[in-house]
Amino acid sequence: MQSKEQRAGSRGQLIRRAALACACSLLSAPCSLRGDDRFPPYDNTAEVKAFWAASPEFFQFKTASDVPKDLKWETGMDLPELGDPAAKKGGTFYTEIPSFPPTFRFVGPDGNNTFRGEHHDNISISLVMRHPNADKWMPGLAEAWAISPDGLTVYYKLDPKATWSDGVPVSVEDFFMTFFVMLSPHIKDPWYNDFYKKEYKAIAKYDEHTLSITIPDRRPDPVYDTAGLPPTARHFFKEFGEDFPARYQWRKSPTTGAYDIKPEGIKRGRSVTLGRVQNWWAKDKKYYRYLFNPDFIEYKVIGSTDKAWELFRQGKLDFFSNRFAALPPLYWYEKSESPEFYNGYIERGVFYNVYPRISRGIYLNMSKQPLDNLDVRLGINYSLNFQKVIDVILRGDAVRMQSTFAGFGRFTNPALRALPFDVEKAQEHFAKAGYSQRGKDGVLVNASGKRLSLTLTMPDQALFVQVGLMLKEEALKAGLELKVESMDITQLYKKLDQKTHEMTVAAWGATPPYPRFWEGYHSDNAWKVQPDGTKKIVPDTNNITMVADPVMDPIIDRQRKAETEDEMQKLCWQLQEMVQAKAVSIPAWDSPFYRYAHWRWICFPKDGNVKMSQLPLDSFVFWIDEDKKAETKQAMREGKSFGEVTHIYDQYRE
Amino acid sequence: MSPRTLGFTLTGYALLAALFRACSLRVPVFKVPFLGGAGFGWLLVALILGAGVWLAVKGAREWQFSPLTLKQLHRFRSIRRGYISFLLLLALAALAALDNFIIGKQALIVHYNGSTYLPFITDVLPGKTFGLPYEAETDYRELQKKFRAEKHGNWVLMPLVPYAAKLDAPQVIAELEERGGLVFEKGSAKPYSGRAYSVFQSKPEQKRQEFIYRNGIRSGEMRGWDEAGEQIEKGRYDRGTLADYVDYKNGAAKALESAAAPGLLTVVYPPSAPSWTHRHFLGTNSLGSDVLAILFGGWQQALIAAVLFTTVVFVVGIVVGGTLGYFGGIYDLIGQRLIEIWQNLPFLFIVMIVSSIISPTLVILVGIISVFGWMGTTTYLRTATYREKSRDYVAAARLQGASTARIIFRHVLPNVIAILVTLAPFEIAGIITSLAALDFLGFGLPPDEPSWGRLLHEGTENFNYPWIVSSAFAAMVSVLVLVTFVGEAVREAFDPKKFTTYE
Repeated sequence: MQSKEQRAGSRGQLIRRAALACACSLLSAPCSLRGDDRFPPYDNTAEVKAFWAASPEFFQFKTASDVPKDLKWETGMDLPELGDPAAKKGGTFYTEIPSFPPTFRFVGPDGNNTFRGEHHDNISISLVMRHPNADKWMPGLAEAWAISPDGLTVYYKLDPKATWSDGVPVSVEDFFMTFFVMLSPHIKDPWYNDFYKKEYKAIAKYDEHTLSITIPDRRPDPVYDTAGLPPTARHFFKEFGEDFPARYQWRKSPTTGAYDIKPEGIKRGRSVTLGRVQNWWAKDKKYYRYLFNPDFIEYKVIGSTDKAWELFRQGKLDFFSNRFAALPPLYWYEKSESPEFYNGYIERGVFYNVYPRISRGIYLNMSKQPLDNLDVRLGINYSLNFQKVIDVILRGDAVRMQSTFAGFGRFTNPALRALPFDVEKAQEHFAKAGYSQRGKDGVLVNASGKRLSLTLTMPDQALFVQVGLMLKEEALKAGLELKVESMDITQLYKKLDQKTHEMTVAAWGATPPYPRFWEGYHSDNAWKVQPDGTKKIVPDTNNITMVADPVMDPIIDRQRKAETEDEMQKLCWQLQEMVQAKAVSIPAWDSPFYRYAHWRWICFPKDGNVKMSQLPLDSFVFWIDEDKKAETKQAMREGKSFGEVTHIYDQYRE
Repeated sequence: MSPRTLGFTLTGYALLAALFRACSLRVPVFKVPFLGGAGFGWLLVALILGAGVWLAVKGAREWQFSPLTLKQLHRFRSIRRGYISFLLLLALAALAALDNFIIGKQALIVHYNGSTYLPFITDVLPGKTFGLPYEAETDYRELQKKFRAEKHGNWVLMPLVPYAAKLDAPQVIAELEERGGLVFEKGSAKPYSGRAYSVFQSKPEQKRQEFIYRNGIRSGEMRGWDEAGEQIEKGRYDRGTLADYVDYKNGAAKALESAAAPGLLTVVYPPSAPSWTHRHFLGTNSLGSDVLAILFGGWQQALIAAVLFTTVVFVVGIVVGGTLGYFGGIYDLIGQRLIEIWQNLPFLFIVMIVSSIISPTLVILVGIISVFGWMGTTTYLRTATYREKSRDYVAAARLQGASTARIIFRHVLPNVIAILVTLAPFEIAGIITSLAALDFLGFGLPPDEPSWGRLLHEGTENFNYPWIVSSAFAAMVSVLVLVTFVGEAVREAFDPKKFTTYE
């Protein structure tokens, strides 16, 4: 028991200690503001110049008179406007991300994290941009462009007003700088080294606002292959050197787009805020003036989806959909049965979009017995009841994808059809492969008593486990036993890399414009023939089906180098038929739409969104209406109802 | 029960188990030895037969327990709480042994065209046996409905809970009825909100039209299909009145108006609430499997795990702990250091690593847990052996010239077993909790095996379907409470002091 004096004394001690602690932190604060002492200052300007001088045939410095006079310059100003003229600028948009980004770099270790799309891929303006409704080129950093007669060089005239978010004008040398960065071993990213070495032949400067990019081979549309070359701010990457990953870990590079991350917008581990660039150079240009409307976009880090939903219902988040394209049935149906939805405070939207489909499906490893037998593979195709999965688990909201190449427009073969669930046909094919008797437990066996049992590997996410168990139950009807193996996703990647799986659930992301075959179906990525004649599996490639067909290989090589769109289409259709005939890639389901929920003060244009959008927020056509926000808050206090609202935009439905 | 009676019982059990196995019948209680596979099963049956014959021939007609044991048994019985818990656990274990006699998707008896079949013990009977058009295993629930509709004198008797613990997720379809202009679920007092559809009379698996209802009135999207499954119409209802109607096939929809069967149906998407009519007494989980069946399956897994774990840990404990304690010296010194090193290995990390590399079966999982859990029992037994060895009667036996083996097996071990009996219930509680914890985290059994931990995990992710988490929670809590009561009663019964005084 302490006496009064003792207690007073100990309290005094406590106060003294607290004061000492405050003083220490105040003294140390300037230390951290002074800058990172780990990285001594560095200037690579001379190094960069020497790099350019060392390859004069790649980095060409010409004069304005070297620009050919007979070029047909295009400006792309005749396309329809994007966004809604009624859009209001301003407000803060609250949304969420599942985890804090590992870095703000866009290249290097962890550089391709999910958050990069939010602050880099969807924001940066490149030389020309693809108009998402008209599917043609519209101006970006370049206000005019022209293709040379031989189709190998594209000339660009930069917009003189184009500036980085810190006010420095974009210069032609910034495009030259990209090669210095991307070809350097310091970024520790061999994919970029390889890409920038192979895909470009030369870059030339004519004057302060004119440049040209040359590609090595003829392509159907050379603008596709050159417009993607990004500028890299020379003044920001002056310190680019061997310690690039560590030095630039948390430095956000200046952007040509509308939003930037200021240091005060970074709350490590808790949230990241994008702020609109003051006096953005494109803010009054056609196609951009009605987009990028909120002043701030705040991404809160929220670990669990359930918690995000509850915060959304309370109004602390404006939008719910970020993690899923097609909101899972649990959220769209059950969890939306709540007063905020009935009274119309929260609105729901369904948008049918046109975009290459994620090739979600089941892939069979042909190098494993008995999957090398075509009849076994066809039987498996007929034993998978995806329709029941769609009807029950996805509540009928999806459709069966007809092939793993869906969504590429004219480059998808329209004759491809997925094989339906048919027990008799499955048994027929299994019998042809020798599995004709049913064992004591209902599973087919062959003459030597081997059971038809295969392992289906999948990531340990609830949706896939449900799908796997349902497929397993249905496959037993056809006599096929599927052993469901659910693994941690990193382990799953390792297993796929080593090609030790039998059947696996996988999904490849796809980007326009053309489907790719080399990574997934060329024999170079399957087997490597050793000097003594034996074959060894090639690990770490996308060819997880181990397709190695000497007839397909030359066609794949030709497809990579196709020179016209018609040739590309012909080869794509042919290759897709050949892959389909092998029955190794079994397509799963496909959502022809995306759906989302938002508070009614988040407004979208009358037609919902742009045609070629993969996710609702990527196009930035939405805006925040502060009047509607006040009106909604008032209505919530009074209990007034606006009626349940679900927008369905199916004008682009196929 | 005298040793002779026990011998006769064991012999009878072993003979019946062998007979049923030879006829390839899988009878519930008698298939227990063969749970580990054919080879191991025959070995076990042979052992039981051997033990039974030996007891029957050589066993005494009467068996007398020592007065000490009688006192301990009497004291155990007098602790009502522990004794009743023990009886309850025995009853639950007996229920678990009954397996698909009470809970399963195979029918008990099928009477078809004069012959009787017992599907729950025979091999898989293909659908063709009962006149169904497929060769896969018969769906006995559908068969029962079919026979009831046909009324040909055939009948099917299903177990009490007609659902299996794994791989059994049938769709639940409920009927809706119209009362006073509003649509209700059959037998419910609340107007219906959700999707409802009508089917073709001639083709019940094809939907004719689908509506959305809000409080019993149509409001929302409406779609219609033809017999081939193509969508032919769409519309929108606003508070009961049709607006925005589009007929894609120019009048074809109107022609199909009479093709629909009367009545509205709705799919009750999983998880569905407990329902007596559908025999889902505790509801279904998010895949559609019956929760009571999963609890049953999980209880069977827990029992097997408990038996295996306790056996392994006790055998290792007796061997290692006994020798460390008896022989002592440098052997004990080194052994103890090794145990200390082993104790410092992070159990959870290693289980996670092993789980992610291979998909563990129950035996492998119990093996890993016992590899990290044998140290406790070993230390207890080492201490007990040390204590017994220093007792006078052991010294007396050694003076009389008894061999080491005789001293260990006849003098030391019987006194040390008492500790094992007291430890057993707490070890069982431990393994059940560890197994459930691993399954909860996702590092345990594969997803198609029933387990309490996985059900609990699913329940915590779906709190708005409270029957999942409350069933799993209640089951785990009750079993662990019963086991703990038994453990406490055993501990008290084996306590040498009847009264403890405090100074």
